[in-house]
Amino acid sequence: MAAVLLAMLPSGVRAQASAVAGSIIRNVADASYTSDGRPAVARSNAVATRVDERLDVTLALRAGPAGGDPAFVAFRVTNRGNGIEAFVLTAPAVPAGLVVRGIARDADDAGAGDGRPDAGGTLDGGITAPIAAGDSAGFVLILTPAADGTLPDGTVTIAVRAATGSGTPGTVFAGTGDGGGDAVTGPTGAAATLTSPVGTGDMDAMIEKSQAVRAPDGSPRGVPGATITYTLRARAGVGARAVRIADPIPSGTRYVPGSLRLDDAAVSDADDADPGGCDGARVTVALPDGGAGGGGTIRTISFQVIIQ
Amino acid sequence: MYRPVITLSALSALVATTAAMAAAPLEISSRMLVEKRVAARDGTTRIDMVAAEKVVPGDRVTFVVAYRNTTRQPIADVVLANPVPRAVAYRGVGAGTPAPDVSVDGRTFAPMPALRVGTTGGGMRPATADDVVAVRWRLPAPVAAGASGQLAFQGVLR
Repeated sequence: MAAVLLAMLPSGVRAQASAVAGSIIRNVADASYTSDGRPAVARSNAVATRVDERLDVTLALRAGPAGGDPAFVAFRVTNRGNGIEAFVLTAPAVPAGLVVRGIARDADDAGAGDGRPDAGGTLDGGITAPIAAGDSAGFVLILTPAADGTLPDGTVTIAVRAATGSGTPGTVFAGTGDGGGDAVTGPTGAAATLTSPVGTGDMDAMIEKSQAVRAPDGSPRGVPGATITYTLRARAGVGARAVRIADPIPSGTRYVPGSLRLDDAAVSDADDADPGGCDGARVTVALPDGGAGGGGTIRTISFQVIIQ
Repeated sequence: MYRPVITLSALSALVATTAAMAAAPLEISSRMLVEKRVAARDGTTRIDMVAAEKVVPGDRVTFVVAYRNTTRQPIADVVLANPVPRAVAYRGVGAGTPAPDVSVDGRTFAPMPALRVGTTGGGMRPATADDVVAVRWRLPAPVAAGASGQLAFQGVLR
């Protein structure tokens, strides 16, 4: 069994009930007073500002590769922005011997989903239908396995980017946002990748990532100075060996030194004998090998970053 | 003949409005600013406040209410009010601005600690900044002839 690397790119900061892209915010102040012994009122001028579209997206694995011909990898795309956005899906890396047939919608995703493509064929050019702000949509990557029907060992990488554009957080795409305003990439850069192990020994491997945001004022808003606590639940998979989790520190955030924990025990940041560390750019944690009492256990990893 | 009549009456209305504004004893004006982060050459980041022509969720915005007494008499009992736009979460006052009375329903104003909000379970909880829908300041002293001032509050675009 080859060593496998489970890597996840940063999840975005979830804005709650975001201002709708293209909407206008207006403000008027008013006053009451007494002048020359008589009550009076006054209104200010009206100011108006346009809400631009923030482009943000995250990707989550729903089910690892299901064997057979074809084989499927089920995943979910979540529009973390404030506009209605289409996304471009690709599979930039698959193990030698596997062929990508395409990516298809799996609309049976209200609950657990069935992990199988809907009727209707693959996405043309990997471009999704528009997804509303805050909504998720399920998809499956369709793979043709090796001639003998087995899945070769290795990893499959799935990538997503906003159709409007992606790039370093703060990148502006003038005039292309909903409602005629600009579109601006948010903390995720409007792009994400997901790496899933394939191969018979890794079938039970799983990784889930969640986040909690706490701003200095105690609210859950993703503002500068807010702390994001990321929690990863991971299982190496029975039979898997030398599994390492690598999770990059999201751009626009700074790792909180000493915040890394594995199953509620502190893990030092240094590259030393304990199972993990952080060099400021990414967190890495080694999971116990699979086999009896090892690989089937779900381990919980957590760490914190601060939004710059 | 129809068109010129309309034009003239529209012009008259405009003149009347302008005259009324010019004659307002207390002029008030509103501005909306947004924090803009500017990278300096030395690697530091400077935060500028610029007029908010466009914003995105997460932006920190400041609303400035300015007032001026245009008369030669003091103006008393001045109360300035500003609704918090629905798309903005209230975050507090700007530097140098006294704490306002706030409202969570648009009708009752009080200091934040005095306000309660109903919960879905039928109970009550203390109000938080997220609940604020309007702010109001009652100036403690009359505004002297020709005097002016400004008040500010901050928010985050939801």
